[in-house]
Amino acid sequence: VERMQQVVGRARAAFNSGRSRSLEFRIQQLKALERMVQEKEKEILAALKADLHKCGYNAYSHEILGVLGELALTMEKLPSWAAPQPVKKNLLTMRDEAYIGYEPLGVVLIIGAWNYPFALIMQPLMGAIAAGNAVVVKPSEVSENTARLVAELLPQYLDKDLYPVVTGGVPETTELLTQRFDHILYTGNTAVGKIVMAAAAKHLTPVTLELGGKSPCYIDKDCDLAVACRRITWGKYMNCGQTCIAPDYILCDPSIQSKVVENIKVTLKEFYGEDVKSSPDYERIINQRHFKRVKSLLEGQKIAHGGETDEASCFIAPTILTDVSPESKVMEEEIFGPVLPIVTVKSVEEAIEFINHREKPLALYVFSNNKQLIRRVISETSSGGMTANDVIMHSVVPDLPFGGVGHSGMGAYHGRHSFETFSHRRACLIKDLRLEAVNKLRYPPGSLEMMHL
Amino acid sequence: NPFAGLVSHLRASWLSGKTRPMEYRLTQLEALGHFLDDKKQEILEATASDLGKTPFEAELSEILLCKNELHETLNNLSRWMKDEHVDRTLAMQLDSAFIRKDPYGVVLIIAPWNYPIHLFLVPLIGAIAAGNCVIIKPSEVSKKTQRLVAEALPSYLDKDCFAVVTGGVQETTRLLENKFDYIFFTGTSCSPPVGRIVMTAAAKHLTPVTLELGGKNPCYVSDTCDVTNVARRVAWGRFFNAGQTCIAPDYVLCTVEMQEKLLPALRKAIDDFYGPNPQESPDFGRIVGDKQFQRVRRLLGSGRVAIGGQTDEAERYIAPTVLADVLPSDPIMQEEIFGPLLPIVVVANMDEAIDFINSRERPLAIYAFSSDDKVVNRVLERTSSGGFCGNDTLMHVTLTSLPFGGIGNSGLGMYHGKFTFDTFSHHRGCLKRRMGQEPLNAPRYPPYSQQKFGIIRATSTVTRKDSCTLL
Repeated sequence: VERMQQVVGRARAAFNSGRSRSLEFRIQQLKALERMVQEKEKEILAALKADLHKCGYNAYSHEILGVLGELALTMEKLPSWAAPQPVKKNLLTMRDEAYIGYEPLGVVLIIGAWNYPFALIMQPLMGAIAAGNAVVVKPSEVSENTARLVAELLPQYLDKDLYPVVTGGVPETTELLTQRFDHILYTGNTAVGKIVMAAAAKHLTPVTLELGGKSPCYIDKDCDLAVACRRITWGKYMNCGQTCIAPDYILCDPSIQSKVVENIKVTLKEFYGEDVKSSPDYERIINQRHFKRVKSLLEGQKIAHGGETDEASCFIAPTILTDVSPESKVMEEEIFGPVLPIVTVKSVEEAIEFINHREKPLALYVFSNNKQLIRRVISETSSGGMTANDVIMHSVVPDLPFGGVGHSGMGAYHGRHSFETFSHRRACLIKDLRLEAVNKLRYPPGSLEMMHL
Repeated sequence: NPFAGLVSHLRASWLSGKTRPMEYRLTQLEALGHFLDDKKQEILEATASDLGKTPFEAELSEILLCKNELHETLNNLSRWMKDEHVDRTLAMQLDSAFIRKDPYGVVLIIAPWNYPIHLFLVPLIGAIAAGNCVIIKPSEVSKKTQRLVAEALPSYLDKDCFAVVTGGVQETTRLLENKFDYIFFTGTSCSPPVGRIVMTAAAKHLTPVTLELGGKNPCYVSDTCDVTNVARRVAWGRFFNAGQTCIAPDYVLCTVEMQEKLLPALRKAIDDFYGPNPQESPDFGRIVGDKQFQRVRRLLGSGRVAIGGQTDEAERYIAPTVLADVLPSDPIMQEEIFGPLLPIVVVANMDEAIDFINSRERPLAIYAFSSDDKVVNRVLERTSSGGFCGNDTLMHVTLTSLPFGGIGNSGLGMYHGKFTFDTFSHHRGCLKRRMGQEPLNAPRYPPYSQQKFGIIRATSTVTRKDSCTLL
């Protein structure tokens, strides 16, 4: 308890000193972060390899390239994001200064996840720094190599008191959550999301929760199946299915189910070769616990492709399940693994109803040549975000807010949305102390002329 | 669960999709306008009965300001509802990337008693505009207004989508057991604990919230200022609605010299506004209930009564009062006053005032008065609060283009104008791609290779101008 109190207390004292507020300081810290990523690329890739069996190119393009891009964007746009925003005035305030000022919140807490362990710390962190806050960083202990690396590297490049790293598991995080923060950004699962929000409620701390759910993927009969299936295969099996916005399950007409399976099989061979296990580009499940969890979802299912597992290496082959029952276990929880169930529906109406009777997902996908149909699916459903005719990609458009709704989360970040999430928008009205005549109308004794102004 | 039936009825209406079309939302919003027009007299009478609200104040805060928000929303709704297209990376030039404003679903608005119509109606305008179904829970403390809203409002709105629930703490607690898709809570002087209770209940369902709470809003008066104008603006803000305003200047910070100048100026302002006996003025309100009256009266013991101090329990009348030489440790400095008492706490200078403010919880509003711009700006820059007004009180919340909300213990989230619409909408990131141009995607697929990687690196090399990320 003491350690947490001290760390947070030091961060708060550092924030109160005011040094994190100037734009120069913030950009200097962001530049240092950029240098860190460039200079320590080898070490970062090694940690990702050790934690998730992620190969160099993949790890670089998923966790480093995106981070560098966002850092550059943030440094470039920060002056314009942070500038006070003048607002429209009315007759009474015509001669006044009215604007919205962007101010830091104070000390924020970022809790990372294990599936993109580096990016999911770095992206929120840069937004929090850009907004002028002190930041306590808590990487996921499940991706232990990356956690250890982050704990070693951040103090070497950033202001130690303003941006401390706290490591540890559930007991340490629970302790950390008893401290008072001015914002908490948590990436993880729905159950823990509730715990984080309840802890935040004790201090009236605003939260951004990036959770998960079952992201549906509807494939219309009218579409280029080969292309659709290649894109779906890419998004589903990257990182061994351990992506919060992976297409979780497919909804399609029974008449195309076998074609979908065939196309995915062809694509899998193209991507990973005959022997997936020996492909350097295919990852592994993060640990034994999740391996067992995902494996158990296969029980009683019709395996159209894959199904091979190897506990020693936490290997689960890219797997497709057909004619899956909506009541089965694999359709209850977020899969977070390389298992793709196909549930057949007879129409887009049935698909929309199916989706709407479940918790709102983090992402939603629809493949169709029919623009009307796509528009309909978007308008009649709700999800954190969505992509039509591809998967994953809405999360890389820098100006789109990335976040969930309902059980998939609340709040959003990425790009300027990160800056806004970690800022307080303060309404400012500066009037003149003279010109009192204008005010006479509002003072008692009551006058109704004021009403008609 | 006594409200389960009601909530699921609204949820079924929500799922039917009827609240989504713009025409529907406009019709419901216009009906709200009719409610304000038709029931204006009843509203004035109910609020007068509940808290002695003067006709002038009631018409201003409960009718006029609400209509401003309504008209702003009606004028702009189609623009606010439009998809917001965003910049795309080079590789996505042929795609469509936009932010869609989705309704949340079934939302709950809990309102307090001090501006009993305004504080449910303005959030309601945004909730309807954003396409939601709404349950409204007015405060049971403002009894007549609660009854008016419960009896009259439903006949103006679609009963399948909008409902009013009445009751006290028990009913609200049961109501909060249900799952809502958004909860908007405005609380009064006991806010922080109730705000926590609401957020904790919301956490069980992962329901996002906006909490409009309160605190002690400091009012710094520098030595260089026009004392007459300062006194009038501060007195107006403090004594409006008999002090029962979440953004009222709660206490004054100034030097002992300024205190001596302020007192006669405040005396004159109060006399100008309410006459020699404010109890007889038709323009001065009353405390809402006996419990609140006792609480505020107890605070009279702090410092010394320089102006006013008279009370009349039968009428729940407390005179516009100024207390001088109040100490930071006095009882009146430990809670939000929410009554017509203005304590003056003496400080040596602006720096001491700023330190004083910063050593306490962040308030909903901070006020600073000075003829020297630099002083006003220094207070603004070195403090943190929900909102800020230089050289006046209350006025920053009458501009619909400024966000209204707290920070820290004074609340989270914000609304007014477009911000209310945004509060009740989920901003959904959407990307529409094409099935063609598949070769462009080739570099992202396994098997990975040095060559593919080279292409990715080249096409996403970041210069200061282009901000390309993945592909």
